[in-house]
Amino acid sequence: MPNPAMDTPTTRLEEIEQGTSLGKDAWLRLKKNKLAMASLFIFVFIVLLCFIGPFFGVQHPTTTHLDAKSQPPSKDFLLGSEHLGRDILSRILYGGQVSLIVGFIATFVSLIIGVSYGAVAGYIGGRTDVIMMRIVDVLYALPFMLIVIILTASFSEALQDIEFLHAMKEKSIVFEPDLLLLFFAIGFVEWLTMARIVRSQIITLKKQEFVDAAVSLGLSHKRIIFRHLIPNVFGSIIVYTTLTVPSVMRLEAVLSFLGLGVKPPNSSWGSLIKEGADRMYSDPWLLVFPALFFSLTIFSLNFLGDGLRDALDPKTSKD
Amino acid sequence: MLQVEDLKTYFHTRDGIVRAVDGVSFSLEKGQTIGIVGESGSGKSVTCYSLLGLIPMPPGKIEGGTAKLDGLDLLQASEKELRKVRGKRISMIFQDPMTSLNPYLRISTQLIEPLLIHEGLDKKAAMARAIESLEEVGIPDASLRIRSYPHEFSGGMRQRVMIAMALITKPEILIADEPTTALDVTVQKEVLDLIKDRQRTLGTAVIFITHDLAVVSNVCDHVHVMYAGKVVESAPTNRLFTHAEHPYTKALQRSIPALQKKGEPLYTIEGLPPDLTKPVAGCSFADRCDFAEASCRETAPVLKEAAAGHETACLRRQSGEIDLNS
Repeated sequence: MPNPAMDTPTTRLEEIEQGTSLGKDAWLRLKKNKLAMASLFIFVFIVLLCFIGPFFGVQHPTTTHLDAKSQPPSKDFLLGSEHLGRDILSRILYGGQVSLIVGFIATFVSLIIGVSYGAVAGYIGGRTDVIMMRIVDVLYALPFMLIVIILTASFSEALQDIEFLHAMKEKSIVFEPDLLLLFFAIGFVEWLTMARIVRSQIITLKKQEFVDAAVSLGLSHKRIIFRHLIPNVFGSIIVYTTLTVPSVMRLEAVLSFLGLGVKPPNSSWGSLIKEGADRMYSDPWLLVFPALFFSLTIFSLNFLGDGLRDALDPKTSKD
Repeated sequence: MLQVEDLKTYFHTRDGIVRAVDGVSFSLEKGQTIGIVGESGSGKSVTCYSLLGLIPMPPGKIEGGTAKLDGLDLLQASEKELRKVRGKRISMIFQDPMTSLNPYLRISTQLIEPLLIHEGLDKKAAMARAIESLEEVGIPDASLRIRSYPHEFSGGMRQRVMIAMALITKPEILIADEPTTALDVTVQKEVLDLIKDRQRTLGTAVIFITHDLAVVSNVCDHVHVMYAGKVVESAPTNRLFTHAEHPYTKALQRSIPALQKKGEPLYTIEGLPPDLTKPVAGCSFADRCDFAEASCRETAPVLKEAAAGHETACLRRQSGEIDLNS
């Protein structure tokens, strides 16, 4: 929303005195981007729907209604029911929780590993950098599916036996062993690109004088990397994160589609789309609605990422 | 207090070994201001970067010499020992104030860092000291402005912040690497005066790196003139301007535009500085020197006293064949 008061001399002065943070500047620019704001709105709406919606009289996602199998959308089943009479809306909302949690936790895992690894490699440079980045190259070359299958096969049993997880998974779906594996498997693959991006940015940054200045003040390298350099790449990190979340959700969908991810009776958008695809000719609503939620989320995150990239670009800033 | 002897910093590049600093010696007493003058690439900045271990290694390497700070050899010191010296005993201000502050951190965050690290103050006490130090360098409304980001300051203001940051721990030595080069002429004088003023108050010794002879005459007690990685003349400031004893210094002084006749073409030193990857047998200035003879290209000159406290590395001056001040 345009704010005419912004340009009056008094507010400008106050603004200068308080100091506008770069985050605030970026937010002001983002607000002007209609597509990004619409995307943000849709995304927040879907998240709220998935996590708060189930409290408002939605049926349990695994309750079967054998008397109402494969119903098209109706008053009882807003988005229809599937072949065991389970409510599609409820399955989409609960499945959305899984998809979103996987998307965000796996992205977070990849973020932490990728940013630290890339920043350290870029900052130290020289031989260390070469070795660290060759490791990334090797991991890149490994087929993703192979890694996931190996991880699932070797740790699935072990995780099932951990008492703690059994107790916890009653409380929250996050502790489901299959999901934990998914976080690691996806995080393990996704951090590679992040490491490369951060490394290349750090390499250009570390030649700037303020790094010399920081060294000349007696700061440790650790402090320079994590307190001085990483904030400078926040822009790229945030943007890449918004692009990673959908790609992680897509991976989860692919894995669930192949039966490697979320196992029944739990659902995720990926597994719902798989079930829907099996019956798309007889019961098209089984495919259409989960796919709609999934695409909306991914589209909105992608547009939001684009908008953030423009908003955080220092070239569009005031000076 | 600081005694640099025969410092040699070489860069091992693909084109060969660049002898950026090749046997530089100087000393600095408490509270003294020395100037290191020379054109671009003469090794003046590399000399000071070497002292603080700021040379990127590789390709840089310190090939020899000592730099004793009250007995501690900075060139041999471990990273940990150096970290205690940097920002605490020796601070530095840089050429370009636009890039020497971190654009993504508030001034306050950057300003209190030396205090947190070196003096173990808590954040609140450090903030109070930081605001005080900003006031001391003449930043109005310091308690408000401290919360700003660097892009909200002008170049001159940023250089003031840099000075405040470098001096916040009251170091014994301040290295100023062309602190006024990137600033407007009017701001230059303010910043120079500020450095002088802070130096008087705190008793800090200053090493001034510059290519501007006017700056030197303004602030320095003693000047070292560098050419192609070597000190060619070293003298008290007044003497250097009245009795330069090296043809290079003479030529530099003749090149100051303000001292030349209007309407005539500006005097410039012919030729280019030598390629530092190729060792020069004789005097490295010989090719551009009006007084050079065959012997100048054969024997490498060394600094020798020409008068009390005044050293020159000109062979012909040392042998008394030429007199530059007649």
